[in-house]
Amino acid sequence: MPWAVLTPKHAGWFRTSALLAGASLAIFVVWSWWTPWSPGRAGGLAFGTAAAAILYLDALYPLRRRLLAWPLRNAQQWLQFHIYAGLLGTLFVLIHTGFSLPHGQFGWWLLGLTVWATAAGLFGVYLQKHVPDVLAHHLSVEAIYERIPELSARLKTEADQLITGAPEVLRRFYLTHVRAELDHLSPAWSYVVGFRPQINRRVEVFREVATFLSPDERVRLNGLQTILSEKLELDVHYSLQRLLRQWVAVHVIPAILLLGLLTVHIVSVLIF
Amino acid sequence: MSRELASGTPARTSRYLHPGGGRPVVRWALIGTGVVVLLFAILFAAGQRRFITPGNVSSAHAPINRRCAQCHNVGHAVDDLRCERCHDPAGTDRLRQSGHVLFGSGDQAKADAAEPVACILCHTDHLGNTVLVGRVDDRECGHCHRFSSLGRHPEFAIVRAGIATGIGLRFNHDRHLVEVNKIGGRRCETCHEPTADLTRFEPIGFDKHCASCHTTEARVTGETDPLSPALLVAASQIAEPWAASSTNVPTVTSVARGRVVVSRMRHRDPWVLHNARRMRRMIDPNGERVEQTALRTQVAYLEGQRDVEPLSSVAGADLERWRVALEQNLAAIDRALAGAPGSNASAQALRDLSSAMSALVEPIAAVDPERGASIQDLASPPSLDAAAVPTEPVEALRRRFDERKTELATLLDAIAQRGDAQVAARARTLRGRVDLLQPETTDTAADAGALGDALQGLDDIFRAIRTVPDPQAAFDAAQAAALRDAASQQITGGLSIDQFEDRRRELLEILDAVDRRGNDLLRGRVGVLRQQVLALRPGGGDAGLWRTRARMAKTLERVRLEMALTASGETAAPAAAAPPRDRRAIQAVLDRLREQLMFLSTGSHPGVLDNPDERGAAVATLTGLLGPCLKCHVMDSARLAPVSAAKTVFQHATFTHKPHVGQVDCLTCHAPIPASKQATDLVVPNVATCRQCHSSSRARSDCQACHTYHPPSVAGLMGGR
Repeated sequence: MPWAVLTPKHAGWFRTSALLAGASLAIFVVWSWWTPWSPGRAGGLAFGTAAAAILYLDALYPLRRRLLAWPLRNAQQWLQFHIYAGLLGTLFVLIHTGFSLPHGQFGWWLLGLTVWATAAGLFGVYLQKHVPDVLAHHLSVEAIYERIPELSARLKTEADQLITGAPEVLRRFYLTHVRAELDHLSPAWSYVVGFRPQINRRVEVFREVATFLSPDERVRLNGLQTILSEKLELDVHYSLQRLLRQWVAVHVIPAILLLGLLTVHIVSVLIF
Repeated sequence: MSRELASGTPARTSRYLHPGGGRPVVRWALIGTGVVVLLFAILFAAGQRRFITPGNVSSAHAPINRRCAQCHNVGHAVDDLRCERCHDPAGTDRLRQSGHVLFGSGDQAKADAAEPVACILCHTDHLGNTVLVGRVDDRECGHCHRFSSLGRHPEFAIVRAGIATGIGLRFNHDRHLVEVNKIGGRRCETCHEPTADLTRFEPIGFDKHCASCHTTEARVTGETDPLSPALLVAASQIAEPWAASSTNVPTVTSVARGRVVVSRMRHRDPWVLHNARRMRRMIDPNGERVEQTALRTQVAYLEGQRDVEPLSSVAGADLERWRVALEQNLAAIDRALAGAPGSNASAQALRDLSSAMSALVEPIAAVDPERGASIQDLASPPSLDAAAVPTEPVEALRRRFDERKTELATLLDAIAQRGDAQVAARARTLRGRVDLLQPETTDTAADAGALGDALQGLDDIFRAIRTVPDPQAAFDAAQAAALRDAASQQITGGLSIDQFEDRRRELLEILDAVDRRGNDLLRGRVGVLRQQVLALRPGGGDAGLWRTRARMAKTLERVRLEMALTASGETAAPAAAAPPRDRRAIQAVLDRLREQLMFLSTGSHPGVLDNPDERGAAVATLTGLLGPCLKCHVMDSARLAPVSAAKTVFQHATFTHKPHVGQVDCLTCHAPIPASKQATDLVVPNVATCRQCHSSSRARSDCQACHTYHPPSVAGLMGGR
């Protein structure tokens, strides 16, 4: 894992959040030493209320463009607030429960969704930092997500044209080892971790085939290798960009469900 | 042929790629969540609560799991009344903070002033069915007691006091151990026999443990000093069965100068007790009356608690009638409280109670018309009419004030001379305050209040005097206390003790009649009225009325709750008001109290001695007659102090000998016993002794190991453990 992605871009937000988290934990430790901790008592209730308020405020993130006002005057500040307040909210939820496991199904749902939404959010932060860097600096091609299938098909056509009139050895190599790769996009989760070794392994075979070809045919073979490399990089593009889009669902759906159940929880607490 | 097309684009961006296409996801997530929330609302409306419960209730509450209304008051969290509906159906306040304070301090005023503590503060449920709701964290105790561990536990009160009081006997462990050794007894176990379950010891009894040495032919050894026979009643003049046989009477021998000596008396000799009781009535009539009233009050209260039925067994129509009656009573009390200060609130409360009982006439008459008519007469005694109470002229008030002030000053001077330095200093301080009081006829209430405060301050002095191991000092203190009570009565302007007790007795008789003749449905209502009557205190004035109001308001809340639960179909209810264990404890205390009451009710009632010389002679005769008794017993005012040799030493803790006697010798904890020469010697261990074993790594040392927040029973609440 590239540890650089863990370095906070906005140290002010990080420091403030860390300070609040530390102070909250200190309050919890002192308070729970002094008196038994329970979600329904003053301390637990205070942190529970704060957590609920933060989670509801966090949920306003999709409306950030309409809510640009002090102290969140631009989208970037909204994003930072969304990330750090969300983390604090989760910490407050844990403090609210006294770091104990729930005792009922509803509690498990609430805690589970909180943890899931937070974990998915953190994964999203990682993706937002890691993927653009990879796409911009570690790949030779750049492609818009929606055009990737078209580009891939064009590469296949280009390869077919390139192989026209080629000797039998090269044609057979193309048909058995290359064409299948160009037939369709092959996204893979593993590209999040790394992709260069996989691409290198796939094109390694070109070097062996080159020994059986004349110098002229080698030029044709190099062109074919370039096309395959580009296709594999398009696969990486497609995988990573698709992940960026799918991640939203993984974060947003449980987060919205959490807000719904949180509302039920608050109403039931007020009623009972 | 080489490839012609260049791949990619030459200029690249390092900006974030913001994901697109999220809106449909958000939309569908919102719709799905809305459906889920709607489902919850529908299930809630249909009575399904399991989906929103934060966790299972404890196994003890399993029968009412998901029957939220049993504990929760919608919109008002968990309601203590609902807890008490099952755990204290009789509504004794035993489980409230006031009950805890009363159990711990024995001080009703302090208990009344205690801040309420909600049940759920200590007892948190919905933490799973294996959690014991009754187990409370020690830190909860620390909020009020300033410590929450045995390590910081202050010294036991009895050890701090440095003296054991209230045993009512003179006893010498040192001498008795020597005698036990002579006959080859088993030291402590010769007298202190463990019970079958080893948790405590059988009571020490004279016949079983003392008679073999202290009697000869079943007669107590020793004789009285020469007495004046004038105040003694001969057995032949006593019309009681035991007096018919001469073997039941001690020997009375004439000696010089017309005096007699009494010998060969038995333990608890009926003739001696008859004469002693008679002389007490001559010397200290109020003492016996107060004692009887206290006993009757306790008996009536405990009977009510033993017999009361839970509200859940009362029919809805009766609950409604009860509610109306309670609301009327509360309104009447509010009117009384709204009246001017010194408006004789006790009499007003009694009048209101009479009105309340008039409401009972109709249902009683339906059961028994004759009884109904007689109750109607009793419920409106003409003596309670305010117009019949004469208004004293200002001069009379001033004179009475001066008389009381003089009495108090004399009393405080006497105390200052007799008490130790500390007591004397306090008496002198009070004396100074009394001197400053002036009878302002225009605003008597203020000075009366100040004088009343001064009288209350005497309590501390009496308490200090009682700890002095001097029977005469105790006697003086008791007399002074009676005088104080009388003065307090007159200062506060209420009914006199006699008038007050007469009214109270009349009311209790009416209620007893209703209880006996009425049907079951009336018992609960009678119980409430009886509590109101018993809660009245002579001279209590508005304070007593406020207490009554609070109690009545709580009963009204309970009735309303029961009606609400019945209306909502919540039928789960306690089977009985008092659990069997509590009923047994109540019955045991009742038997003992009735026996004491019976003893006080027998015998003759001579006139009161007003002449100081005659009183002095009577005191001398009484003390002389009880001379052989006083070898072991002590005087308490004009009577033998009640003996409580098996009295619980640790009043506020639960202690069982069972785990202790198997591990250590008696003397490990009771080391001073072999050298103890008086019953008042302190022979109990101190807290440091307990700490030797009770620590975190050895034996339990949490608060609940020894203490219980709630009084163990109603009887326990009244000190009858």
